[in-house]
Amino acid sequence: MKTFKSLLTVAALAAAVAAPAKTINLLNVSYDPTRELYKEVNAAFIKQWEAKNPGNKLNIQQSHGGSGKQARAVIDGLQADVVTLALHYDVDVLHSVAKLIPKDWDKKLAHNSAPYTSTIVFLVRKGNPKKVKDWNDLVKPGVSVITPNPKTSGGARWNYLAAWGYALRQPGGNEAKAREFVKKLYKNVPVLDAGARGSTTTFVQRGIGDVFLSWENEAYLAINELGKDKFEIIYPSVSILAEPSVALVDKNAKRRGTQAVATEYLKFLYTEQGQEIAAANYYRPRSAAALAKHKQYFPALELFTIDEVFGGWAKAQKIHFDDGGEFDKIYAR
Amino acid sequence: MKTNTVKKHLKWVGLGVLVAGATGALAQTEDSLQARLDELDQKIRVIERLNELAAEEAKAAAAKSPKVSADDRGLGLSSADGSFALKYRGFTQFSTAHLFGKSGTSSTTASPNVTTSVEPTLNDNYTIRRLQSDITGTAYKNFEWRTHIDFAGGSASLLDVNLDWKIQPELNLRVGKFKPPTGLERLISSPRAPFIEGSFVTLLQPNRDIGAQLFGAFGKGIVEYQAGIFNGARDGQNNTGDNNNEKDFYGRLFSHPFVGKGEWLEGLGLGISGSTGKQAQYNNVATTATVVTATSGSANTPGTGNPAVITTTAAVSNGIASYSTGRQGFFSYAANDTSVGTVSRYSPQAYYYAGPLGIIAEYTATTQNIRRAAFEQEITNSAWALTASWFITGEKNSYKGIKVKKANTFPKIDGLGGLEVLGRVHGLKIDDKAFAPLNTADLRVTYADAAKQASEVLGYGLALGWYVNNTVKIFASYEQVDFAGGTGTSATATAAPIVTDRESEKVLSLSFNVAY
Repeated sequence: MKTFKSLLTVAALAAAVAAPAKTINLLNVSYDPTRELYKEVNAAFIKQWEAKNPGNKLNIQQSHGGSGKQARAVIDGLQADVVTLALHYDVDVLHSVAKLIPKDWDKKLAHNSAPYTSTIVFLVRKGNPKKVKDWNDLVKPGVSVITPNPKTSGGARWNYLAAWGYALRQPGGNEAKAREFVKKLYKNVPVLDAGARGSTTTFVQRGIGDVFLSWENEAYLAINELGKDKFEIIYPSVSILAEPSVALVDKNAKRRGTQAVATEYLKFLYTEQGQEIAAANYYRPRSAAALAKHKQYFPALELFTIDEVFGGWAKAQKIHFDDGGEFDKIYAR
Repeated sequence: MKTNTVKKHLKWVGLGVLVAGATGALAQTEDSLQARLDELDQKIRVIERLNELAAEEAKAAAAKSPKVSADDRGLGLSSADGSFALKYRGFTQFSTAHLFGKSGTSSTTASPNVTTSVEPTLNDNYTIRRLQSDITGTAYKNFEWRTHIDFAGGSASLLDVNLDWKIQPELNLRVGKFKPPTGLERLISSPRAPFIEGSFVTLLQPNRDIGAQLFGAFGKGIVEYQAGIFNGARDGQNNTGDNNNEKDFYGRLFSHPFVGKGEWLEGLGLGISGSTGKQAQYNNVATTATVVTATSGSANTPGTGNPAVITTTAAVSNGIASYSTGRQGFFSYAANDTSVGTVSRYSPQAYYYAGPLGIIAEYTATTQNIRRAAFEQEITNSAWALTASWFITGEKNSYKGIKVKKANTFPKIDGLGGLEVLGRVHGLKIDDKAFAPLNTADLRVTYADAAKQASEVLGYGLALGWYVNNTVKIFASYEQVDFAGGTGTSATATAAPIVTDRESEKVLSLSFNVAY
């Protein structure tokens, strides 16, 4: 019996030597405000994956920055296994410019590969001293508005388009009036940061501006971090439905041998656990159960989509944000 | 009475109105001032934030800009991500040697068949020993190239010209001309060479060769390897081309068994290298030798006659390596000897670096068959060396390079620089068979004449290296080399040679080195 046990031990050791533990490294290239979200997602997914794959180790690294800049970095060679960016267009360029992902990448996962949504709200200082209630208050003289640069920030593009869409939807609204409205709004913007996190710093840490056009989740984080006695959230009459997109960067993942884990990682975002984490980080979940659980943070709001108002991201990008587009004309100083 | 009371009340009312009016105006002014202050405060904050963003942008832009560097490691240009780079380095060494006690004359031929040799004449000298230009480059991150040229002596000599493909740490490819994997002292960079002259071990190892080599490291240097195929070069020599299809194979394994185990253990390195190859080009028989025809029998026929006897070793080249202390040649084969068959070498080697201490120890043996006409013998020559050094100024000793703690950069003097004390013992032994008569009928017939060629050398010396800073090094050494044999009266057909030891070579060397 003793001999048998010894043999078993030797065999187990031999097996361990023959099949050494594997360490897999994933890189998730994301946009500015998702740091906290993916910190939690990663911890939960690693725990789940390592439990399913005993003896193996998974490391997930995060990279954050302005969404457009992040997409450019991946095109320029940043070895992302997955991207989780602020908007569909920034993911799409990975196909149109670099062929790193297939054309139908957004069909690989549910909800056009957008596992959670968000919207744009106003973060104002406690007491709302400038009485900002809706988009039209942002163009009043003396109201200082903080929003990032739409040329580099996905969040900023949502802000811009939300304002444009609001103006179009006003009685007698048309493209010219919308252009004029957005132009007036940007005249009230004293600082254009490269990304949403930079704008949060400008508004929250540096105390600049009266209203911050913010991702809904970013607004809640600011309040949680600095206290309800300092800021409050204002929901405008209408806003835009922001659908941050995720995708497997097929070419990189294939080369790095991480396809299976990376795909599993993205699918995890759609699980109840993933949705619960998203909701807890103030992203509007697709899951009805998670939404119901956190409904106090997500008041009902009239939301319009990019497709409805601008005919999709590609068209909106070309008209408004490409070099020489509407934004360049509006912001030329 | 009533009138007075009314007047009194009116006064108070008037005063109250005035005070209220003044207070209201004051409050209005305060609000206005506060608003003005808030506005100014915002303007200042905006300016500060814009400056902050501008600084961030400048930093980000700088990170993307090509980098230019000029420091004690050379001049460099590189792209922001380091994928493309160009680096220029140089090494200049001026040296002088003063020899003590040498006053002999040149070798003399006394008669056709009997030679008496005396001590060689050696001169003090000043030498531009090295004038090296080293240009390295990186392309697409994983490709590196090097062009290393020495202009000392007035002409350009290509030392290293190679291309590396860095596939991964465990597997890399190098092609071109470079040092094949041999011994520690041979592979050390010129500025880090312990003494001006290499130890005797390097005499038995080829210098540079042309070929291809795979190399890499596992486990952060726990195991390093090199394996290559080369044209083939003689002991201590450079290969400049090939005239045959035979190639030499080299291999080297080196281990740092205690990587990550602390300063006192991780500096231990142990290794072994070896090579084997059959080189027809070694068999070039010299045309300048004077051959004295045998006095009896048929020349060059073993057992039936007497192989030719060579009467001079001057200005001959038989394609086999000869050995020198750097000041005087002490061994060479006779001019019509040739190397045949396989030449093989092996070199066990070790170093130990811990704090200011550094020790290098290695051994090399070269085995080759030497032929005189139809007589052929396997000859194994061997050498060893032990070099130790200590930085009395506390610098961390290293095989790869030294970083001076407190550099002396005239006119600014932060410190003395680095002072290194060195000691070396090394020896080389020629196989006894090289001096044994090939034909008992004529004792003159040997591969080497013991009255002219030393059979063994032993060198020992001390040195002081002053690293003035990371660029300039001044070096002084005193070394003595003792010889076994090397002078005397050559053998006659029937009488063995009368062999005496050459006078010991005592040399004081100085060098001034600039490496950047």
